[in-house]
Amino acid sequence: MNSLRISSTRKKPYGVDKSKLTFGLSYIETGSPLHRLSGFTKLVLFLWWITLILTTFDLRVLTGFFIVGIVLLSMAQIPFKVYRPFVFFMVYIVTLNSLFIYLFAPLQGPEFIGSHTELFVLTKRYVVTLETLVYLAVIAVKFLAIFPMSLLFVFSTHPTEFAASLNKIKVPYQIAYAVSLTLRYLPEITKDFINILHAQQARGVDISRNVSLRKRIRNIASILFPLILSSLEKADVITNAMTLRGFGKGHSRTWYNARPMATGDWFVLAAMAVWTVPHFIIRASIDGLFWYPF
Amino acid sequence: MIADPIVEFSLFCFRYESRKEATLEDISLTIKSGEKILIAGPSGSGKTTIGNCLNGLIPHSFKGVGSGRLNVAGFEPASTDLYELSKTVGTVLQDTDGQFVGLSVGEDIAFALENDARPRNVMLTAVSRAASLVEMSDYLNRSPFALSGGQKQRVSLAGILIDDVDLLLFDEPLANLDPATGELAIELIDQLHRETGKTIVIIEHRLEDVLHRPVDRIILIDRGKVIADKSPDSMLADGTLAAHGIREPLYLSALRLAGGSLKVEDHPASLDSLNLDRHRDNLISWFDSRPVAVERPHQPKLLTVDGILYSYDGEFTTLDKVGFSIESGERISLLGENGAGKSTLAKIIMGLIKPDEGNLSWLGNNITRENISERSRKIGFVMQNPNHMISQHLIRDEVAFGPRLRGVCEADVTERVESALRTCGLYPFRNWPISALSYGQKKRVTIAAILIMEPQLLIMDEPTAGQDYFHYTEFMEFISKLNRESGLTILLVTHDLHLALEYTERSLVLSRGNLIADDPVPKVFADSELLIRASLKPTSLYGLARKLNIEAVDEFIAHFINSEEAVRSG
Repeated sequence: MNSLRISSTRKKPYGVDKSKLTFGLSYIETGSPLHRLSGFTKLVLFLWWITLILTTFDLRVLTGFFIVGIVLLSMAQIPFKVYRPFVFFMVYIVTLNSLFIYLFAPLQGPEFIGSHTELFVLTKRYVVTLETLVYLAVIAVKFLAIFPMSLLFVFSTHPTEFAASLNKIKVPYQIAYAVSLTLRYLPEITKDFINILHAQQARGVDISRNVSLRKRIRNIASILFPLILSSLEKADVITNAMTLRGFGKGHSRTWYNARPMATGDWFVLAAMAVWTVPHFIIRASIDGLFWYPF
Repeated sequence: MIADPIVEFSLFCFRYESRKEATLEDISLTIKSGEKILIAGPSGSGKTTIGNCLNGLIPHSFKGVGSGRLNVAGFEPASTDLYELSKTVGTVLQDTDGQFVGLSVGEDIAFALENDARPRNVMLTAVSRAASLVEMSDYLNRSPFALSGGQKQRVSLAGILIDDVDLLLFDEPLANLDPATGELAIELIDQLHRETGKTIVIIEHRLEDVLHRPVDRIILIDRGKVIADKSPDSMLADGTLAAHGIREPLYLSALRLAGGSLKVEDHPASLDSLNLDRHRDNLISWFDSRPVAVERPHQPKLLTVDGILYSYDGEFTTLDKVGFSIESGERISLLGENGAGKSTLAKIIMGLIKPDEGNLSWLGNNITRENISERSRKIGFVMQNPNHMISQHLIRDEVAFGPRLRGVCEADVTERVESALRTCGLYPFRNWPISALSYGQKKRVTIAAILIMEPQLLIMDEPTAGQDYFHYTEFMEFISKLNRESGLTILLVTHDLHLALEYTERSLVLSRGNLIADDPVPKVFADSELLIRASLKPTSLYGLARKLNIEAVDEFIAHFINSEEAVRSG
């Protein structure tokens, strides 16, 4: 999406056609303080964040994480329109998830919490209790609290910085680099795919609903075959190019995009360490899994 | 200055493991330190294999059997670590996308240093120095998707210069570039050569474009052997190149058409150095003897494109109200720099994408709403990369694919396949697997697979990409024959000016989404200002006409085209 923007400076003479705007889930440079953190810090923060959220069922703590997550995401200065579709998608998933938990196990909440405060009765099977509401809220907020941090991580960590930080936490660099290579060549393969699709369509290959399913599957095969061949060919070229520039010779490598640890990084890591202690104290102080004051 | 040899092949032979015949036979040649060498030869001649021997990919990545001796900067590549060799020989590959492994310019330039596990601060200074050598300092944070082909090539070059190699090897550096960008690349290579004194080896078959800047020697390779190894002047004077499928510079073709013969003393290596004294009268009288131009009788309009507007993202226009028409039986070239909107226009004509505004009509009927499969009965589309089109295992089945899809009965299919294969010179191979064919032969298979559907208009996207002069002449000749004999209308989408000059009568020039010219080829090629605006540099015929003080440059070019065509078609 960015490439089109930069390669062309011609403004369309009439209004913007919204139907053609595309959205991507990838790194966006905004120069915010979060972008300036090292990839290692962000990776550790992301893993720490998920671990702590998964280990607690305390609505207060989860809400806190959610709010901090939203604040951090807004600090990253990513335009809302970039991730708006993901927000809708997330809300949809969370709603659906809660609905189905309730439909299949309406008394899950009271069972876990160990009390039963009836609010109102829908049918004989479907009773709404306060415990149910708390239980469903915990599940929903767990998802919602992970969500802003995931977006933040994806939008603010350059893929090779991510690879560098994987390498820093002892993932072999050949594997770590594959992450960055995938992101590098995925758009190229998409481009090939569209070219091949067009080439086959121009010869009369129909993959629309106009033909029978069996024929459609066969026709899709006529697109996959050249795609696989051309991708393998590309892989050969890339392998040679990388070998010629010394990839794979040493036991370790350095990373141009790895940011050195700065004050900000130490501050974030310290903040994580500081919160970890009370987090588990609160966790231990509750009887059972759920925080339930009523 | 007596320089030490940096490369020495002596009686060197090589055969790839998968091949029956040797690719290189008894190669003996020497390249001195600091020389600038052009290795020329048709596709499949073995010139790329020579390059792979220099950088060590042979025998480290491509296995095979070799004999004889090869020495590169004191190393024997076969017994040297590939990484050690890569510190001496830097290779810029033909595929600029494939070589760009990083996700940003700076990162890609630093790639070799990262693999050397150098500290980050060392990398930062080295990257900024290498980037400034290729004038890419302002782009360090750009992603490869936001760069043009020429810029990616510069980045590849910087990534190699960062290692302070002794020998720079360029494998077909012009293959993916439009003419103006190609010219800049040649100038940059020359500048590096003069400033750093490194040895430069360029492997390329586009001779005239490389000779835009001087080289010390040309080594001509064909069928795995060294055919000639001499100075550009003497190579061009004796005409060996044409016999080995290399296009000689256009100004020399004009000299020969005028009946002149060349000597080394004429300095034919470039138009600037060429001494015209012996040839001026000859050329002028050849030009004066031109026949009166006859205008082509008008034919019904086959395709009319009217006010086409298209934008990929809804924000920036790729095509801005483009309109023209094509008459039945015409041969048209659609010219423009990379990214001008040529391919988009071709896709709109094919129905692969729908225009935002505008109409298309076919023989007077509006076809804007017709879908791809309806259009593919009238219009054939040959894509640039044959590997994107081929979906079957056997040549016969690939060609039969289209008619079978349309439900033609098997007896008819067989008959049509055989006739299409005969037309394209592929009949002897009909039962071969496609994987056994060369790139050029695959291209012919894709052409056969389209011609069998009997289109009235044939669109070819960059037909000369990856093809040398000899091979593209072969298939363009039979397409021209179809044009003459059965009135096939041809639209070539290209930035190859030689191709447009040789095989089309009218040019449409696109620049940044606007149609800036729709004129006969000689007129377009005589308008240097127009060509520069579209990143298509003027040909040397233009320069030659100027040198001869000829005012009617378009007539000079027209006479050249007609005379050459007469020679080609015998």
